[in-house]
Amino acid sequence: MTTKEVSSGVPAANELTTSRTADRLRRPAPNRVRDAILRVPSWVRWMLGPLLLSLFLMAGELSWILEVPYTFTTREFGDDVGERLTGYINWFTTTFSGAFGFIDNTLETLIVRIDNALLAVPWPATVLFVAILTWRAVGPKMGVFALVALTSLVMIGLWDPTIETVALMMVALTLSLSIAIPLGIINAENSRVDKWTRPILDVMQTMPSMVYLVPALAVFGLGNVAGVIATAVFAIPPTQKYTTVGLLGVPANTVEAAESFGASRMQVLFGVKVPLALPSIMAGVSQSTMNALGLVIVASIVGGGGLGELVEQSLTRLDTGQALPAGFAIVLIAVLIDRVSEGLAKKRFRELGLDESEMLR
Amino acid sequence: MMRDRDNAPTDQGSGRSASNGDGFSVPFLRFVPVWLRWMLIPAVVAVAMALGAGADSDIGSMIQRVNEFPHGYDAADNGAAIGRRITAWIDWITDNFDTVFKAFDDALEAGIERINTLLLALPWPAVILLLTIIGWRLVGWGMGVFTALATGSIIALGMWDNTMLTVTLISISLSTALVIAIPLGIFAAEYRPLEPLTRWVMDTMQTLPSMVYLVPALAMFGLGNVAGVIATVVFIIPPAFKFVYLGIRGVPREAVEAAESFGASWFQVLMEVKIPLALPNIMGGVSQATMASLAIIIVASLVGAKGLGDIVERSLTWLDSGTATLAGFAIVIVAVVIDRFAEALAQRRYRKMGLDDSGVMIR
Repeated sequence: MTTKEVSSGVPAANELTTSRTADRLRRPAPNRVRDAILRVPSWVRWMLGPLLLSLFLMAGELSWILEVPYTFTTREFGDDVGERLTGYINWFTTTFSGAFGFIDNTLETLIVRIDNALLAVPWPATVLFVAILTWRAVGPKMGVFALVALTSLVMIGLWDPTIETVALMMVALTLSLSIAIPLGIINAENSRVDKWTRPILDVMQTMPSMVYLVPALAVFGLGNVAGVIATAVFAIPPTQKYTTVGLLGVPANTVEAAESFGASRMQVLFGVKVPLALPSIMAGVSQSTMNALGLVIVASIVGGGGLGELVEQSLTRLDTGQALPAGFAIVLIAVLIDRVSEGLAKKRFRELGLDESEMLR
Repeated sequence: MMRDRDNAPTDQGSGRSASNGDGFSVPFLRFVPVWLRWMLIPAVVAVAMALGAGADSDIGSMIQRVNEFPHGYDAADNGAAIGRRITAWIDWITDNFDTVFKAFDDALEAGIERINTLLLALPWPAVILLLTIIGWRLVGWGMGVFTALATGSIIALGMWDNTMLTVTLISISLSTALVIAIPLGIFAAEYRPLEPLTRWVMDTMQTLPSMVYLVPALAMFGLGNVAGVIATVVFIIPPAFKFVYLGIRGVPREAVEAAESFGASWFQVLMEVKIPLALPNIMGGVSQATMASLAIIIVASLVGAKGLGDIVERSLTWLDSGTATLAGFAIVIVAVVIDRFAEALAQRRYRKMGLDDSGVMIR
């Protein structure tokens, strides 16, 4: 604003000889209405449109338009579309029932096997294992916390559902990471793929978790598998993003040094870039793990088992007595997983001689 | 591949403890990473228990009983008993402070009702036009077209009132949470002694899955919108808090010192230097909190919150995938619109402030 006035003022100062009238003629004629309108901030001006439209609609003959979203016709239309969609989805699932059934059965068997294997280990050994892992990864205090927390889970009889939740998470995360990490590497290496997949992944990240359950339920029906598939998809974006960011953040001179020694593209990628990006990838994995835990629990709505099932059942029965211990168990697991994965990522950072505070979070 | 990479630095990093442990002088133990060595303890325990359980003796039966313990009924009863006792306490609180809870419940419900009626009273073509113009001016014409089509399709599919209810619930919980989180964040950034505690609480709260927040809310307020709103408020305080806190802490020290050297009081520095400079961060926190609130208000249908989440939940339990897909579509539209608008607003604020890459003001 000020710069404009100054620049227009400079030539006027140079032409001091010109008469005042000529000067006035050169300026645009003052338009008070226009000035008054322009003085209103532009976003307020833009809002005049909707305001006028709504006044027009409310006053005029067109007031029936306002009733449209509540009338029977849109409801019927919505129901109609819904029914047709159900039809399409049913057609889809019945046509490919072989493939979906195969995936369903394989995953279900896998989940049951892992669950059984974890339950077959004597619980004191599992508790000790987790406690020592936590101690080594985070510190002695957290190790004691893990010991006490897991023992208390056993004491209140929540061991079985906890193990089932862990088994579900293991399957979902394995699926998710086996897609997300290669995808992250491809995105970092190929900017064209990145350009196409980034908007999709961005939208995926903004979508609330429960939305993922809808297609999974439609395809796989009630049960653990629907929850696991939804969780696997939901947990892809963080790991993918952190992997790409980490790989792109590898210093160019390091890559050049490797290349000048004659390293091939694959060698540069897996020998230099991936090891250097590992802390970032691990941060992504830890975030994906937390996301997965969140959705594995909500997946009880589509028939997923474990701790979420306990919470969901007791919420629908208004039995907070059962929901509270299960919620407590979820809290303990969440804190443990978060601290351990963060501790591991930090450890890796320190080993690489990097500053912990640079860790993406 | 990963295992190899793991081992090499671990051995180097913990060379001290490895050499200490070499008193055992077990061959090849040196090549096993330290944390794996520790895992021998649970492995030995597991093997010993498995072997002991097979033994036909007192010790064997004892170990068997230990193994059976978590699957036995007494442990589950234990948990249920503790849960019932806690529920009894909560019931006692809600009974004794019945009037307080009831008044709160009623007031919040009335507020929700009022805002919802207001939103529904707005003529829908005007709302669509408004959102379209905002999308166009803030983001670009592509976003404007998207907004118009997306909101139009919500109307056409008959999801309008449910969408408006969800928006109402979000706006109420968001405003409540911000009223708590922003002062708390400023307080934590300004008052150092309490900072570690507040940060620890907020970090822990942020790791908890959304469903956990529903349980106490249900226990206190019963089924309904209010329980959902309360759970949402508690759930979205941490992200908002974190952004405010980091924003205030990240204000360049030179700016604060310059203001102080001109004799600005603590309050003046806070209100006129720190908060304006932290505004982009604070707005980022608001946008994060908005997205988080959308995510949980939908899950909150489990405790009886209405709106789009309720439709999804009901149609999921009825296995009506068509309606669930439509409601999910509406949710995605709301999420995308809110996300893009919030992001564009924050970006615009950045540009308006003339922020340099280093975060120092140019102007």
